[in-house]
Amino acid sequence: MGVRGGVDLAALSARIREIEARRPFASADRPIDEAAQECLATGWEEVDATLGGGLAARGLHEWFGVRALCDATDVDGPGRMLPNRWTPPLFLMTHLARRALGHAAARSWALWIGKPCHPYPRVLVCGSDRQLLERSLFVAAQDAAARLWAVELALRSPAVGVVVADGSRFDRGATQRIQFLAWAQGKLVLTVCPPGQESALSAAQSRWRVCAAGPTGASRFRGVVPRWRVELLRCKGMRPTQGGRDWLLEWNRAEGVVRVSAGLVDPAGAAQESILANGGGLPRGRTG
Amino acid sequence: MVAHCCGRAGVAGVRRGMTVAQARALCAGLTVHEQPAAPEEDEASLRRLARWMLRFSPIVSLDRPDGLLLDIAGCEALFGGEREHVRRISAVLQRWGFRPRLAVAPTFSAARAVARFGESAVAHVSALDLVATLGRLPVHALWIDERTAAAMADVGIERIEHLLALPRGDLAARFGAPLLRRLDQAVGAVRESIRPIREAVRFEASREFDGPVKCAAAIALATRELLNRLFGQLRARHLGILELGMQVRRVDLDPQELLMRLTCPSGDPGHLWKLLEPRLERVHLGYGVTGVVLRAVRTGRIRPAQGAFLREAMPHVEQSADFGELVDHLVDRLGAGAVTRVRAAEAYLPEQAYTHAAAGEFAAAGAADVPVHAACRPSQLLGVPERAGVLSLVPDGPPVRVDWRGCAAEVVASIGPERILPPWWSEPVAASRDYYEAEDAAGRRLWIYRDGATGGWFVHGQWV
Repeated sequence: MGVRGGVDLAALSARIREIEARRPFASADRPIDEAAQECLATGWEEVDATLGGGLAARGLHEWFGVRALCDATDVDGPGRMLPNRWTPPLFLMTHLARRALGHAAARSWALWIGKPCHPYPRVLVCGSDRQLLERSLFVAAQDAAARLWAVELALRSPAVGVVVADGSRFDRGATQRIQFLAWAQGKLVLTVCPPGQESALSAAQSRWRVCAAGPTGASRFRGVVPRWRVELLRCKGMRPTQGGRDWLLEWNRAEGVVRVSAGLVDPAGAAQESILANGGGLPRGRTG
Repeated sequence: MVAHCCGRAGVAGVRRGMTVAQARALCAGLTVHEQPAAPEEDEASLRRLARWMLRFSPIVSLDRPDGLLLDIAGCEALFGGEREHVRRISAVLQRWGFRPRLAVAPTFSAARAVARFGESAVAHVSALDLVATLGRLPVHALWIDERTAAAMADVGIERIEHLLALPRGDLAARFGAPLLRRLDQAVGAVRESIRPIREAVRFEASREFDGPVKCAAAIALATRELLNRLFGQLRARHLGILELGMQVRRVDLDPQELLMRLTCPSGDPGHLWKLLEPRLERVHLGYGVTGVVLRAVRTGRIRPAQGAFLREAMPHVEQSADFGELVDHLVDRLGAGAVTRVRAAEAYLPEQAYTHAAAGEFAAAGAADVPVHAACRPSQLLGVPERAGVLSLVPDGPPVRVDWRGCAAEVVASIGPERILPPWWSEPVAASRDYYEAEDAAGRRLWIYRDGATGGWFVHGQWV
């Protein structure tokens, strides 16, 4: 492979073949990177199976938020996107933060850095489990520099188990610093980013796109069920797979947790699923 | 108003708090000294006197408003016996212009009663004649409230011996249990404790330079050395700093004061230095610094840390220190209001159901264990509810179409209403709200409500 004078494609393909040959085909959906074996199970079985056990427990994971719709008329077809308005996937962050806190050392703290990623506190309580509510510290850092500083400070503190931060306007340098520090300190960092930032370069361990899944034909009978289509855009060290890398998640009202959708939807309604993902004009290209 | 009165006036019925005219009517020829009453100054003077009396006894307590209690057990040998001890105390107080009334008794209550209501200025009561001495005193001497004393006076109980002659069960039934407790404390049947004053210990370290110093590095070095010295003093008492004051004395300018507040008591000079250093760099040195003073304004007890053996058995001690340091750094840069914790509040309105409190204050107050409402709530609550255009088929019916933020869509499913009423005692009384969870064709899950007063619809949150 060349350094200055271009890329030697033959050497590169040989290198890829060599990496792919390390594992048998049966474990094709497992991560290649041996060092990333310490995983945090998301609790979403299909996702964990694809990731080889779950999210890397040490590293930065970027989650691109849900873009807001704008349409002056009926939304029979795909909606028009507002360029700047978006909402972070707070339910998913709460779910992952709760699992990360359970995975971290006892009496660790969860830090929520940046006001947009502060959830309504009620969702931090799951049944009689108030641990996340009582062990959460909310930091309202305004600009990207202050947020980056707060994330680094939190990662260096032994008291912190998981960091959830607003990753708006974090450039590649910032993500690289967070990734290295999270790796060194053995911490999990989740950042929520605006959808427009998908095309920016990033050193994150994994990148995810979250879209609001539209109602199904059964919605009238099942009641209000928040659902999201989650797509894995990139995961470091993972072998390219033929299967899908997107899943439908929904909030289980009875348990108060996010689960993979049971898929009990009628085919007619399924056509309307994920109107944001399919027709919203979002950039589909993978970055990184 | 009468602030103090002498014994003669007291016998005539003059009491503290009554007007001067009432007092003159009760006691002819009363001499009135007019002076503005200053209870705070009186209390401060009494406290100063109590601290001075620590040379006669290590345990001194205030007997407000004008008395002191000394536990002199074991001290008499140092002063040549009990009588000589009391004589010295009396002599000192008289030399200062006081007219002290002293009593030595086996119990605090008895000593207080004899000193205030006994006949002689100095009295020694032994354990043998304790009951007899107390019996001659009026029931007021037991430090009971006026109402109980008046009730006893109505039935002819004037002295303590009358009380002692009555059955205890009847006394408790008629005048209440506190009377019996006072009586038992006076005769020594029940243990009585006092709250002794403690000598204030000032933790301070200072350094005076030989001349004005303008070198910032030298000042920093001296400050670090002072920090280490200060923490050495605190470490000996298992204390940590909660509030640190620093004074930088300058040649041509007024001394500059720096104050730092910490979340948890810290015993780590390195942590304090990290917080102090940037502030010290911003200090204007003028023509030079002549001295630096560091003072522990507020301290807190530090839980002892485990050494090497079984260190992992007590992780919470280190965790709390680490967390305190993290919060201190965040607050130092972002401000106290930007670093918060959440506690559940006893309120039904969604915007009041949880309160953000500064992390430092939260630690001091402790987390109240308020139950969390079981109702379903969205993950994002808007700071201010946003007006939405909502269509419903029947009045007060569920929404069938929502127009919010420029996006109009049919509601495909909804749950509600959940009526939330504001507290009736609040002013002005707000209107009720009928909340609906609504899922529209655009894929939005909104928490919307109809205002009970105006009938207008608002979006208050969403499930994202």
